[in-house]
Amino acid sequence: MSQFEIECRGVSKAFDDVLLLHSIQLQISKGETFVLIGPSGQGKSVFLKILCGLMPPSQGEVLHQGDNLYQISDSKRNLKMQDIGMLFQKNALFDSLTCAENIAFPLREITDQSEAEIQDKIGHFLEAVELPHARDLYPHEISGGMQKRLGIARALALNPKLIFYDDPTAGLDPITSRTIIDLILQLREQNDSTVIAITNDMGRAYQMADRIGMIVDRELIITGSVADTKSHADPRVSQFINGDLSGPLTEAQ
Amino acid sequence: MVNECNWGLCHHGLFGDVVEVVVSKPNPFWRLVFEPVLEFLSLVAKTLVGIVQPPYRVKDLVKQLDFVIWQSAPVVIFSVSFAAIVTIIEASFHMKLVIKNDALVPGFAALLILRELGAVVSALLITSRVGAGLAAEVGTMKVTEQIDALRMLGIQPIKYLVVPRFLACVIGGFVLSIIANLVCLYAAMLVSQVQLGYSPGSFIVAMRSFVSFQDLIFAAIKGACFGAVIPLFSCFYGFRCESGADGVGSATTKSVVSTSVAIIVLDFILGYIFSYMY
Repeated sequence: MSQFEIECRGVSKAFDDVLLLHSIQLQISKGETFVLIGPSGQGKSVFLKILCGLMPPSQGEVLHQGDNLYQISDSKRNLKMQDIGMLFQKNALFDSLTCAENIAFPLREITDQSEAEIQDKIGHFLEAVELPHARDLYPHEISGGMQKRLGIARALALNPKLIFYDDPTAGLDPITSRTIIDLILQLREQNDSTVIAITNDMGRAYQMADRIGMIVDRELIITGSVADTKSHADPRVSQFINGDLSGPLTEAQ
Repeated sequence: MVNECNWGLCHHGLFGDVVEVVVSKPNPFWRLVFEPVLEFLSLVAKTLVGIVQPPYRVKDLVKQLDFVIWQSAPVVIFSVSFAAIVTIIEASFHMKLVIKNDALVPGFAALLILRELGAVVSALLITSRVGAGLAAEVGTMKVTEQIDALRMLGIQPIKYLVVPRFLACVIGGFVLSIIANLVCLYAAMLVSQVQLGYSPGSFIVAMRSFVSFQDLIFAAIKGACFGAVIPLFSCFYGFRCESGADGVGSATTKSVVSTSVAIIVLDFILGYIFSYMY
């Protein structure tokens, strides 16, 4: 058993011969919260999809507790995927199912739980994300923030030990953003899970990160803890976190 | 560098190694031609494996059967009736014109209906109704990352989405082809009585000299084969859908065109094979 929850060895990704990520190395320990930041279009979401098993890298390896996610058999991989939760950037809620059915879906599909147990869990998760009133509503009938919370509830329904959040506060107002991050942290404490999240909101990144990494110019710069990130020597990092208009990031464009 | 397979399934599929080799070829022609073909074959293989692999999604199958058979039946019955009416009237008109006698019309019409018209027209109608909807549904799920969400839950999208629809379309194609052929024959008989003056008895006698029960069975088999093609092409283009409304529209168009062409080609192949069995 590997000491790392996730390990990336020389991961590169190219689309139609355009290199997006080059030889990225990363180790994430169990129970850690790792936050990915970086300018738009640099490959954060792609990297997250590579890490969670949705998109194979062009080169390199992604190890989940020592197993290469892209080399193992389909059945073993499907089992591993059940231990991973993911909140997608656009939530990816099943639009033909109600809020309650969205949470019940993984429970009904994956587990052998009785209907009574499933109903209990639906109630529990809807309470946890403060959506009990939206139980019978469809995703298009609730607000963006509520969809986000529902997405979190569905991602956590199987009690995954590893959870990916792709921009959990995108498009939300500051108060709802803070509430969502509080919820993520609270659920992480409850489940003792490992969290990998993308955000461009530095306030929220500082709120939840044990460690921060920035994807820029095809590479991953591990900036370290919140304090280390704030005082990082790389001018690209300081420009990004301070939101400066002039600097290497904007000059390169 | 190896580029990504479109729906990320080839790397774990039955053709994974072949795809790896093909997509690593520098010539874009290889990628443009062979990658889609291998992805399609991978989809077919995984669907066939998914049919026999538990869990069996009986509820989904029943829901899809309702959608494919019950909800398509009115459109199919209405349309094939008119196709049959046109066929028999046109056949009578031209026979009278050329050989001055339309006594062979019931037999020829029945032959044309059972060997071609019933199965092909009903399959094309199912394509436009079920296939287009399926491509748009799967395409939208792809664009909104719902397919990725299924994969993240450890659920195989092909097993979940394609297999029940495939089975429903095969069964639906079989059943609707029989219904369409019987309705066609009935419509033809009705018109030949009202318009051409043949009694139902004489129509059936004339028809029996040209066709047999075997023709109806072959038509049903054709319907099942056409039914199999519809979800495969629709889901294939749905899985390859690119983002945006344009992407979904394009996937739907491609799926309908490809399925229609495939049905016509398959009709020729099956017709040729069946011709050795009479």
